[in-house]
Amino acid sequence: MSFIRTGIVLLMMVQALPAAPGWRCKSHVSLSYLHDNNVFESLKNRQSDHVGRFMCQFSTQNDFISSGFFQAVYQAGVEGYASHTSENRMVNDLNALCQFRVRKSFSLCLPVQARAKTYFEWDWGYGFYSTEPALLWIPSRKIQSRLFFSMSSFDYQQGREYDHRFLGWGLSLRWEPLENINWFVQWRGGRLTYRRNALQSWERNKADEVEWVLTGNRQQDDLNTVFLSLEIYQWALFQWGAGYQWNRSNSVGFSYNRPRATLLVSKKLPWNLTMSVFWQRQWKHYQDVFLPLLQIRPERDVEENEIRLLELARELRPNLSVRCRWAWYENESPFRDRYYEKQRLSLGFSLIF
Amino acid sequence: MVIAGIFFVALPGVRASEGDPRIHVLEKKVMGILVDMDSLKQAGAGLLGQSGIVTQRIHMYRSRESLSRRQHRNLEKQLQQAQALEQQVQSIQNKLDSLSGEFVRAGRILLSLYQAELDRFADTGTAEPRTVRERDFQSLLVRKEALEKQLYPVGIREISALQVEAQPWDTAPDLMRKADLLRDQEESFRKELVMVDERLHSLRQEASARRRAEELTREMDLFNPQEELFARGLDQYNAARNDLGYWEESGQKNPPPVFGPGDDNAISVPVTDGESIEMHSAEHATAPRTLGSVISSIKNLEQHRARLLSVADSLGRRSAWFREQAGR
Repeated sequence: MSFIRTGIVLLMMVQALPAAPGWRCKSHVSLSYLHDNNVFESLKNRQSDHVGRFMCQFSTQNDFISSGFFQAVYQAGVEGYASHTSENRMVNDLNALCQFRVRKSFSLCLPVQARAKTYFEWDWGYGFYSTEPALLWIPSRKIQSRLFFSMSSFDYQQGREYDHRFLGWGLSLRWEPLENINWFVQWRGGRLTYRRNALQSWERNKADEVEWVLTGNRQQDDLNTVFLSLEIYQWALFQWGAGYQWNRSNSVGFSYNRPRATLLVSKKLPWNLTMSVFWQRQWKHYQDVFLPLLQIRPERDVEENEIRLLELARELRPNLSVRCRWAWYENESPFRDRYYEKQRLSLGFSLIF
Repeated sequence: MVIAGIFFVALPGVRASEGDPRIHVLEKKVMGILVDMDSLKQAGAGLLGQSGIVTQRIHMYRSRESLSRRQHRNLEKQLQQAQALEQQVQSIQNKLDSLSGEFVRAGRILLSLYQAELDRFADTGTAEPRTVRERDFQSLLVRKEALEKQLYPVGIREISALQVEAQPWDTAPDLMRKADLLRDQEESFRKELVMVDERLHSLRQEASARRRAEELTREMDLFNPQEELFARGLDQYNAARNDLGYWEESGQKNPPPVFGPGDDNAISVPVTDGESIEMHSAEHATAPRTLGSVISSIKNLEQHRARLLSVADSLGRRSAWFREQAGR
């Protein structure tokens, strides 16, 4: 509830800020209806439902620091299910960012983020807090590079064994060799430490079953990710991405390699229509022969194997748009080699004021 | 630096500090920044001139079929010099970027103070003599307009129409020639207008595509784990900053929406970059290209188009008038 209180205070602040000099504020509201054909993400006996969503966002910015700025974004959303009301939930997001120049082409950037997801009918959800201080180096208009350090924490209301901390760092480079062509490359690495203990597998027992035991050590995953993307605007907006992630865990069954590919195409059509297509595909390869049932972290541990999305939007006014979206997901189930599917069809309005 | 000149001339005689002491302080600061920028630009122009000479020399050496040992040495020296010059120019450009940012910030505050002071003058309750008030009012107005022109440049480039006047001794063929001259320039502006319209159309399409790409991810970020993963790396800050109209007002660049690393355990914090303010040209405010920079370009191009249209219409009317006079 503290997040709701924070939200209300922020809302009041945002309303009061336009009167203050130097502050810029905007609000964004969206309302949507969607049909989900697999609410509980199950392999069999799919349950479908009608869902209503309301989301509002308040943004504010001030350049009160010499050669720098401060900005804050608060967004809150409510999702209500027609039949499965136990799934009704609320999300509160608070982001703040302070950035200032320290030398001619060096800037410091300090973002912080907090998110709380809570369910209305039962004690479920999580809190997520993170910060990623970064040093930016911008030697010219065409090149931007960033050295950053990541710290984050996940705290679940139930299932404390899934709580974890992340500590890492990374480097990224953005380069625009030609107009309308942007390259982005990033490496990110770090260590995830869980509250639960690591698993150790024994060989098959007499009953020909694999035995699993807990070690005395906490589960630690060493993650490394390399990502490369190319953005081109030519006839339409194209964004290609390719990534490779490798995770080495001290817990059996959690080490994997995962290549990933993404594509986003967005094109303006006649009658103020805009069509967007998104596709993502991951190929996850586990390193261990014996795999325990995937310990699904509440809310967070699901990884898309594939996403296909098609959206058609129309701008009714400069600040008002309506859109229709169809999305298909394929996700990894706890049984590792079996995947469930779900589809969503939604219709929504978006208003900026 | 017109505005610097105005400040130089206006400052000693004005009583701006009577109203709000911050005006005087900020005027001095803005003036200092402009002088610094001016000297940097001069230094940059000098370096570019030198760079041009060196480039010519390099070209001269390279165009030869064979070079003696001494000529080789000279060529190497010239290449080193060209590199050094390039670094110096880049350093000056960085300093200019930094000063531009400071100028925009100080200028905006100064503008708001000018406006407050002008509002105060408009208030009839002031017990100053009318002549003094009017003088101060005019002075403030001139400085405010000069600052506004500097902060919010109207066109992408200056549009200058032909200065053709009818003289009493002009014969009918003279008048027709002048009419033709004006019509030629009008046609040239109309052609440019067509190109500007095409460019605007293309930019609007691009802005629309980029806006949808950002909104798509923002809307899907909140509720479900799948969507969190999907949206990760396409940070909310870009969208928020675009919503804020931040770049539209300042011509400032924002970070491009980029698909992030997509690792489940990475933090979905915003990707940000340093600020760099491009004040004079929308075309230059597009690196790296983002929704904010595209919107900024559209706004500048729209202003340019309005001005071009007005000048073309005026030329058309004047050409018609000359023809009419020639026909009499």
